[in-house]
Amino acid sequence: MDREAERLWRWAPVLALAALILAGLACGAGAKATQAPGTPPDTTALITPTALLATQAVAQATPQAAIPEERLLVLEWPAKMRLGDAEIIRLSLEMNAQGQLTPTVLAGGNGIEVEPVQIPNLYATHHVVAEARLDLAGVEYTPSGDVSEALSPGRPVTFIWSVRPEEIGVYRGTVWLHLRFAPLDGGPESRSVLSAQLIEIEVVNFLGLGGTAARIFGSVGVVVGSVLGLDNVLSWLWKLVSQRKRRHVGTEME
Amino acid sequence: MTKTQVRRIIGILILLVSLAILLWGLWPVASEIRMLPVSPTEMQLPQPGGFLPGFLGVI
Repeated sequence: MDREAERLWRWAPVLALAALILAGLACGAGAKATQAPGTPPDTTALITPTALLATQAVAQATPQAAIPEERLLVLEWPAKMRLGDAEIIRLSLEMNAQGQLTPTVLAGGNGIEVEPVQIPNLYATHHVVAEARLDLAGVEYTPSGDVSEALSPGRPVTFIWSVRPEEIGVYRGTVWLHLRFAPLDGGPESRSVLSAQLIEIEVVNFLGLGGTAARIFGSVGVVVGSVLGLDNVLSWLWKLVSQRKRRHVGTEME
Repeated sequence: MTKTQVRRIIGILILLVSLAILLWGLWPVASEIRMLPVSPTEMQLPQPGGFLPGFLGVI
């Protein structure tokens, strides 16, 4: 008896493995047998226990409410400015190329089932407002303080500041973008920082002149310099034009 | 050097300097553009206790 028992214990792993293989083959055959030819594959029949576990796990971990959009935050600012000139800083929260998202999850290890995940839409429950602010010390800019604009589905929001530096130097600042969520049912509002970006603007002059002064002095100087230095060129041009006019009149008279 | 030559030299100098100043005043300024993709997970409601450190186990 002891020898027979030992033999059985030796073969036990092999038998167990064979049983598992048979069970697997039987499951596969059953699944194939239920699928009629020409009909679309029934995905529910292909869900394995692991897939079920995965879907249950996804269902249990309820996703947090979010804005179901891929967006692109674009910040544009002048890296270098002329003294006294006005430039703009533009911040926009645009729609990304992908646009509206349909979040999906792969259930199961075989990658069999793809199903959309229902992320609660924040637009349905909240007023979403984008709030932007520019902090730039030493430079005059408008508008100052928070600027807000409602965030609507599929629509970009843009904030523009006008900046006019009065002294040369390097100015560093921050462009803030917040999202404010006001529940439609009148609950307390919440606010979160979406982005805080550092910017650097270098303000320069040329021979002590700012942008406007340079344009005025440059224009006047070009005229004065042309009259003083190119007088013979101007007189030659004048003679050339008047000669052509005379020839033109002469041919018409003939 | 005659008076006319001196006048012309001064005129050409004024013209060159003025042209340089005018060009600098009209040259378009260099702007920088920074683009950042924003995913839906970044546009969520702020979680309560989000300011508490993770090791407290509140989150």
